[in-house]
Amino acid sequence: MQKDFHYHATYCAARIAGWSHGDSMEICYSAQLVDLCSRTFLARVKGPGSAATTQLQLELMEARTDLPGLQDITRIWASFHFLPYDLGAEVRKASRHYRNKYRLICKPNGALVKETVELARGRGTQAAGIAMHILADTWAHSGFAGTPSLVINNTGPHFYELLSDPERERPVRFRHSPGAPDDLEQGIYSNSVYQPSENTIMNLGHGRAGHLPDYSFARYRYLPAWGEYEEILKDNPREYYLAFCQMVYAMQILRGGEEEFKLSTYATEAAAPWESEIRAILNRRQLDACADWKALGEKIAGCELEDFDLQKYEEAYRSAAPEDKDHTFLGRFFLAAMAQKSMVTNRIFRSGSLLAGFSVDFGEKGFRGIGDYRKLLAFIREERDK
Amino acid sequence: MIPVADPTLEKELRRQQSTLRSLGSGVIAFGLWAALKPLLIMLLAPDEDVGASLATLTVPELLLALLIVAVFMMIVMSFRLWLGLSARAEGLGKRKGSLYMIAAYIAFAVQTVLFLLALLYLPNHDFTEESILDMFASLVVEGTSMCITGELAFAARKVKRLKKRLGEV
Repeated sequence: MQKDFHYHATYCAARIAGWSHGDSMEICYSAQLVDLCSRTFLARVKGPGSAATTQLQLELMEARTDLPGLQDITRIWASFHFLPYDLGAEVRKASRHYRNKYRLICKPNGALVKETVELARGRGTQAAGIAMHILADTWAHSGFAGTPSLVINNTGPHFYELLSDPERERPVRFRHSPGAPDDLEQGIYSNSVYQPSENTIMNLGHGRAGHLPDYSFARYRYLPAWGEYEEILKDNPREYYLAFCQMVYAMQILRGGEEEFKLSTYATEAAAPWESEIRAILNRRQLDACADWKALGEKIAGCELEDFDLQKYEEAYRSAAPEDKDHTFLGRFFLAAMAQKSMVTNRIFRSGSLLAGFSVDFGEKGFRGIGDYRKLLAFIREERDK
Repeated sequence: MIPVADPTLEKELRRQQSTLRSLGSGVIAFGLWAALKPLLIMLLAPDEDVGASLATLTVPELLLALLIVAVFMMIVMSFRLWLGLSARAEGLGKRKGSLYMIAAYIAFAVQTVLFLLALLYLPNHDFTEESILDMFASLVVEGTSMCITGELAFAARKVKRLKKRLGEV
């Protein structure tokens, strides 16, 4: 998903769920920051490199695709943008290596979504924002995996966009032109270059489908590489609305409900007063719906909303004393990100896959931990002692 | 027959079309090889007996011989190119007649006969260490080419049958 949904729509969902304006702004800021908290950003603010929640295009260009490099890429993308649906999925007549990659395919309402939301409970607005980003992305990025893999993430010439007014279908034309905007009128979209190598960066996530999964208006059918020639129909307007309602539900839980987060549950009643406006935004064919979502957010809130500013909390973090950094906005965000990454990596490791690397519970084993994760262990101990 | 909108059939059709695309590329590649092989043999490993025969020809006769070989190579390559491109077109969903499929069956039959003859001739071959490797490599390549042509013919037939079941009125 894009900034329009991660920032503005998340704000709308938070307000509908009952969060205050200030808390909603922090939640939506954190949700959007997941798409920008790269190692480059962390180096600039002098934050822990392990808290990276994304990789910029330039970073990906330089990323190694040997085993440790692939594990690093998978840890980031599977934890924050392509949360695996079923780490116990079985595949007929497949090698173990293929099965492990198949198990990383992202879909909504997987067991890890519940763990992600529960992990954010009681940990503040930053953790809630990260959880909302991940939850929303499970809907948009459904059918793709957060690991570079041709046999999972590739698509082919069988790719058709479903249009309305009048109802018709048209083949999607892909081109490799990252600088040029997608042409919605002609149905020409940019995607990543086809490379027959299995582990190339071009085959990470939904690169081969371009930005189509991130457009709320897009309806299309295509053949995923893992699908055994079974066609997938993606109806983004319908699924984005479900994502929105599920975010509202999740944030109602996180606001202080005792109730456990349940999968496949949506706060449709709470969102009902705004349903027609939301659906209108989702269905409008436009590259960026920020203006529409912002207008809706201001209508819900009754006040003006500030635009996203990446540098908003940087100075506070940089100038804080070392012992106070973890209590700043960014400090709490970094801790929440590391906790999420640690949890997902651990689940992938426990499923028998080394695609995200080893996961060792240093806290249990009595080690002090490695580098950045020491502060996460200290934070968890502090929470336990409270 | 009533048109059938069956997801299982459609899935199978997509699978066979994908197979046709791959096999079409294979036939083109082997066609290029079939055209290049005589040329490479002539240049890199000329047969002594053939060389001796050619040495007796005058220049115009030699040029004519080379022209005949070249034309033959072009015909073989063009045929395989047409076959491969037709298979690829059908694999990409375009309408194609049955001519290429019939031609594929005929080519498969001819290749099978030649392959079996080559196998039958093996005991009579004068084996040296080098020639064993050459013979083995040749058999593998020709056998693969034969299989690809056969698979293409079968896949083309399956595609046509599936299209008929899905689209017949």
